[in-house]
Amino acid sequence: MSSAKADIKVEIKRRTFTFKVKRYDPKTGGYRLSEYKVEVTNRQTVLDALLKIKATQDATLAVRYSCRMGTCGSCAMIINGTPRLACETKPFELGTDVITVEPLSNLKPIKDLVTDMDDFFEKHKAVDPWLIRKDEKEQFEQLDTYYPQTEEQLLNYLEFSYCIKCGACYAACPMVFLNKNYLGPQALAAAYRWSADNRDEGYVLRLKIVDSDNGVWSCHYSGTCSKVCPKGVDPALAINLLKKSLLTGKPPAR
Amino acid sequence: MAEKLSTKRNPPKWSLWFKGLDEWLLIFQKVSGALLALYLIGHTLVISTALNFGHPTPLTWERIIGLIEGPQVIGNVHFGAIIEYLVALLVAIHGANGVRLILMQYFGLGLPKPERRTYPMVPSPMKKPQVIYKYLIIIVVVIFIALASYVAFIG
Repeated sequence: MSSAKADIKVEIKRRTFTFKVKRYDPKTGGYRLSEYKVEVTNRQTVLDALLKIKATQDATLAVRYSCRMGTCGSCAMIINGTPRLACETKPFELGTDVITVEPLSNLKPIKDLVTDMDDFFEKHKAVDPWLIRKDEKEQFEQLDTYYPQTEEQLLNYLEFSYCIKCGACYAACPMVFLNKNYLGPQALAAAYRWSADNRDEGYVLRLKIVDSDNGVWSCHYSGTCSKVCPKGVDPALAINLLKKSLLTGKPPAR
Repeated sequence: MAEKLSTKRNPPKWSLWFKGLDEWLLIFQKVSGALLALYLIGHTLVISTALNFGHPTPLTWERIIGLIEGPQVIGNVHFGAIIEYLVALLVAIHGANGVRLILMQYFGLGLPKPERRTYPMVPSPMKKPQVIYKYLIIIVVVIFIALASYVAFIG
């Protein structure tokens, strides 16, 4: 073993945290609070702690997760009052000994921390978040066709394409709470992402969908969506750019 | 027992919306807007009644306006003047923030250009130009409150 590798000291701290988990019970239709004490290291995440609780203390605790590395967006939940990804949040970095974990707001519960994402995905689908070309024959049959794109054109939409559809922005949005038919920050960011793509020819269609009471005009700009996004997607900027586009009648910069 | 899925959504985290400046500006905008709409209705009714619904007489005007003005509460300031002062504050908040929102959404004032993101990521509402405009409207409102207070109570 090389000496350079041996010199690296990894400091492992251990501490016992109290997890207060708000759980939805589908049998009674109500919520209850379960309390668990679990020891975690400074390199473990809230998801690790919840899985440890599930393995050692309470096997009935329902948690949804998949990739454990902030890519799939399955494990978004409200941790200490803010929607975050459980797999990217470390108990040591939260600064409290008692950690409250709740299911995402504005979504229907299924069991414990698991929420029903159907409405959320339906709204995402409603804005046609795919490449629309006028010539479908060329798009789907002439597979040797290329749609070139420069670096500048890529940067017009790149940051909005990092969305993992975890639902954190949707849970944080006060306007989704007030208007349950509002498309929500995620769907509108997706609408902008495709409309600002120079390869796309369907922005007129998409802007017609978002130009409605349940579209961009339900956004009253609290900016909470952008503050909670674990991937830095900035849906508030996308919505404001969509509004600017609709008000000035100019297509998004592409 | 069959399990039933809830048709109600999970309740919101209210504490999340009482943290940032943007959220407070939204709350002020909504509340001041609602109060101003109520005031507008009341104001129209009072003035119409004082003008005797199209047949103005000095007598009804004096009576209704005198009634609305109310007694003197602070020095020689009438109760009605205090209400007007509060309405002016609401107009200042609603107007200044409204102008900011219109300029931002119509002309893109303070909106950053989409860019390649690097950690740590700063959301656009926390970026410098937008934060400056937000503090600017707070300064405008504070100056307005000072001037309105001077006019209403001293000058």
